[in-house]
Amino acid sequence: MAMRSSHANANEALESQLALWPRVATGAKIAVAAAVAIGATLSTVPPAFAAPATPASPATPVSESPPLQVDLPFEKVTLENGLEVILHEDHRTPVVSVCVWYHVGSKDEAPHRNGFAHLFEHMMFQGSKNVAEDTYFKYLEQAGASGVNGSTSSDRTNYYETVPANQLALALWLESDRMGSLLDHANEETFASQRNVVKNERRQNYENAPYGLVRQFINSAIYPENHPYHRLTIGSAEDLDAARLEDVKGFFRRYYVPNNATLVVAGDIDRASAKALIDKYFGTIARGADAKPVTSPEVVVLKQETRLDVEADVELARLQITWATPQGFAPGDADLDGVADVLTSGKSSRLYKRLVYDLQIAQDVSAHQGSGFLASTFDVSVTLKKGKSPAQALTIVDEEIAKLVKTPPTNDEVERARIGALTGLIFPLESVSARAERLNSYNQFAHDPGFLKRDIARYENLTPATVQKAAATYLPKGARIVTVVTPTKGAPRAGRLLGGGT
Amino acid sequence: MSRTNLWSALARSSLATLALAACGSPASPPAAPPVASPAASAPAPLSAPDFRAKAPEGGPEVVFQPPKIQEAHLPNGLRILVVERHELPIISLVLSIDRGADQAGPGIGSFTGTMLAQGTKTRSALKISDEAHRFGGTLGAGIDPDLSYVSAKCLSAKLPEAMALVTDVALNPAFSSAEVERQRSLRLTSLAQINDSPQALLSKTLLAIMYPPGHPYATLSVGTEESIKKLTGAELVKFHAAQFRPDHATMSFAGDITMADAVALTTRSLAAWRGKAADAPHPGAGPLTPAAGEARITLVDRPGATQSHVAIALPGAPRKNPDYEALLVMNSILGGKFSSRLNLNLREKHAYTYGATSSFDFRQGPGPFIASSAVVRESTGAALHEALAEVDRITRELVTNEELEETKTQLIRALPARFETTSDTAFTLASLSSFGLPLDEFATRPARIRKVTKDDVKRVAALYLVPERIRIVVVGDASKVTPQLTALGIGEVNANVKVEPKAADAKPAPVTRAPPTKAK
Repeated sequence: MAMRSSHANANEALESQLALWPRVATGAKIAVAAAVAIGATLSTVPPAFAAPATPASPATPVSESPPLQVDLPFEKVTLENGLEVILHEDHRTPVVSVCVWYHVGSKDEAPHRNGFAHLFEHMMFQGSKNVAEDTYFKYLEQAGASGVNGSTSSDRTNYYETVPANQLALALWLESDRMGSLLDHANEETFASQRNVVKNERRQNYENAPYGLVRQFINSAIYPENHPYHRLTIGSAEDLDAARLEDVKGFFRRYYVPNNATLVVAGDIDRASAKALIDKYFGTIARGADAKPVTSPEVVVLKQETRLDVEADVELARLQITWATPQGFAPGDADLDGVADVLTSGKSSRLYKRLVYDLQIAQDVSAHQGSGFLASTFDVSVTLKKGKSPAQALTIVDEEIAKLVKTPPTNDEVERARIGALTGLIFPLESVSARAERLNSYNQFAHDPGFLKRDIARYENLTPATVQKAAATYLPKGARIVTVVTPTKGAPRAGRLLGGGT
Repeated sequence: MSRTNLWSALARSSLATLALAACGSPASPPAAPPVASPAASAPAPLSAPDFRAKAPEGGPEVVFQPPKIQEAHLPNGLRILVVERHELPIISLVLSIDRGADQAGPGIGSFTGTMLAQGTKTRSALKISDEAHRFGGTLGAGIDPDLSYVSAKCLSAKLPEAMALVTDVALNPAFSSAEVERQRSLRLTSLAQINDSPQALLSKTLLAIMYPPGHPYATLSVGTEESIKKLTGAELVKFHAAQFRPDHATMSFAGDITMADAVALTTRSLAAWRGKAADAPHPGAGPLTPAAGEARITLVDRPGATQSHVAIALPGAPRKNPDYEALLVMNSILGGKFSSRLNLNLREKHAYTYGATSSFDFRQGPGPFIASSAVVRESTGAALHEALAEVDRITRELVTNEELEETKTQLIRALPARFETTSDTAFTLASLSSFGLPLDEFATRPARIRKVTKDDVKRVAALYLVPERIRIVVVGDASKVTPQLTALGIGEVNANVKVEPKAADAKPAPVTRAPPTKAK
């Protein structure tokens, strides 16, 4: 699910959204020594516990127990200039989270400008008409902001800050100044500098990272050339080099208009005075032409199994199997979360138990429905222990999926998955910034900021039969991408694709 | 059926049931018609430029009220700490021990921490996983350098199940040989994976060269290949038995629980726990300055890498330290935030990197201070030169009034957010207990931060960032970066480092007791 964190492998997690900058751990214990070295499987919290699991359901009717009553109250208004405003009032902690989503992502990039949406996001932090170069963070730091960042995904770009409740006006002033007047500041020098920063981000997280380019190979194989998801959000070095300041201007004028954005203000606010401040800072920004970002789901139909052979200078072989699946919130999406849970969440999940616990041929296994706005993929990823065979792992994955297709999962399996999914939906909402992000997410992806109750119902309504049906419908053996990464000395650590990928 | 219990209990727990906000009004329909914006319709244009020209002033200062911490003790010495927050039916609990991996040889603490959840005398590893999954909570178990813990987060209705699992996992781990071997294999594989990650190689290398052999901070917490291969289940059992005792344990709760219930539950679960923990000397610094002739720059070769991971490192400062707040301010200015000197220089001014940071890992002993960045290969030398200049400058020159005031304000104003979630709060309680800090630590911290002066910042920088102690580690393409490093003029480059400590290091921690420092 796009909405919830899930144990995707590192590359997927990275690609799902690119942050403006790597956050520094402050206050908390900095486990420099520990965390860095230990892979996911070895963390003190086993994957099953660390990741909010996915849902599943009982054979018995849901009506047997009262439905979960959860509320995330909000008020939504639309300003005359088209800016959507969502307010959420909550006084538990004296902080306010301001979160702006622009409904544009890498899916909307022009040809030969792959990576531009994210590069543009960086420009938004460099200053605007009344906010000088390199002062954006300074204002917020001094105000005591506890979270400041932006991120770009294929589907949207977000900007957020959580500030003490008395600093709401400052956050609105900053956000509105760049929405209204970014181009009064943007210049060649700062653009060239941020292009280099982004290229360094790409070097760090893709080009020099183990398995770093594997996701790009898979996306290129599963999505046709003209599909908005054919290329990763991080982009290519050539396209980043080709971008010009003129592109920044064009992109801003087309997509960064109030009528293509949603502002969420959540936390310790008085709604009436918050609205007055929002009117003051955002109400005077001129509406633009309709942005027309890509919004139609693009169904991908695979017709055969395609094998990708990748060589990488890494220690361990990896097997990754990828299917094209329904987009986020479409029928089947939540059921596939259920499938993922039954396969790899918890030590007694089917693939974890066989591959990691019993046979001990794998270091780690994960399954994940990576929900997108236009399309999704379902991935099973197995990192093998040294010298172990990806072919054997593939046989076992196929056997376990075949079992699930033939016989529904047990009530107990679906029960565990359901509880995991529901707490995974609810626990993060302790944090006001997570609520602001969730409201924005529901607003864009489900077209309803109040979708939480229906989101919960999606998981309440899972049954062994729906989970079985999802596996049977969406995970066919004959229509998928099978990627095998083979450790090869002298190859790039990020990987190189053999034979052009057919 | 557990589903029935869980969700019906949820449905009973007030607040309709998880009203996530105190605002009582129902959500307005999403299709609300556009609302006329007064500012847009009112003639504001004239004043518009004025109000945008300058950052708005903040409203009346939010006075930080740290949560009230309640305390009790059981006769066996166990301490109970509770922060009540009843808005949401969620509880976080942490059973912690005030010492950790620094009490044993490489990898033993971390291995033991993982083993806690791999089976108890009455529950298999699979059963623990299933139970945790089923109560909808998260279960964590681990051993950091200074702190051992078992934690859970659950819906209030499931507290008995969560508490039963947490206490069983903490007190009765089975250390079965089959599970030990499973973890040994996973750990050895993880150690091999370090070679894939330049960041992990950097950490591993710098710890090995900045602490003397055998020092508990000299290896990654996972240990070394040699130590993992030879450690025995009996060593893990012994380590657990020596450390996990009620007289050094704290049971922390944060969330939807009353003090009375917390005490009653803890008494039922843990009053029968007996025993005294072994003495726990804390690590000292060991020799801080490189030996005569030791190269200051260590290079780990990564042929073909287009980026170099660089670090400037030295043993830092212990947590209990009269200069703690001054160090927080100093590090924040140097490399602890986006607008720090290191990040503005290396990222914003020179675009050498995606980010540059510095941090003190505050532990019982002097944990590492590390300033690090991943920089473009061609600018490896230039980036290090700039980073070293920034470290040097903060030890020699006073910071500006603006830097000082902005940073102090930030550190004070960001305190409330630290207690936003029950899990952050519960771990903060465990950490206070682990370091022996007073329960009013956060109430009194703003005043201590306000007292920090520019002279303090310079003084602690000079005291802790001693140039003679600095080691530099670079993970990058030797053929491309060696000339750049040599040109820095700080001595030869050691490109043949052997970072795997010798077998002799795999013995119990050295026992240099840290100099007594007064808790603030």
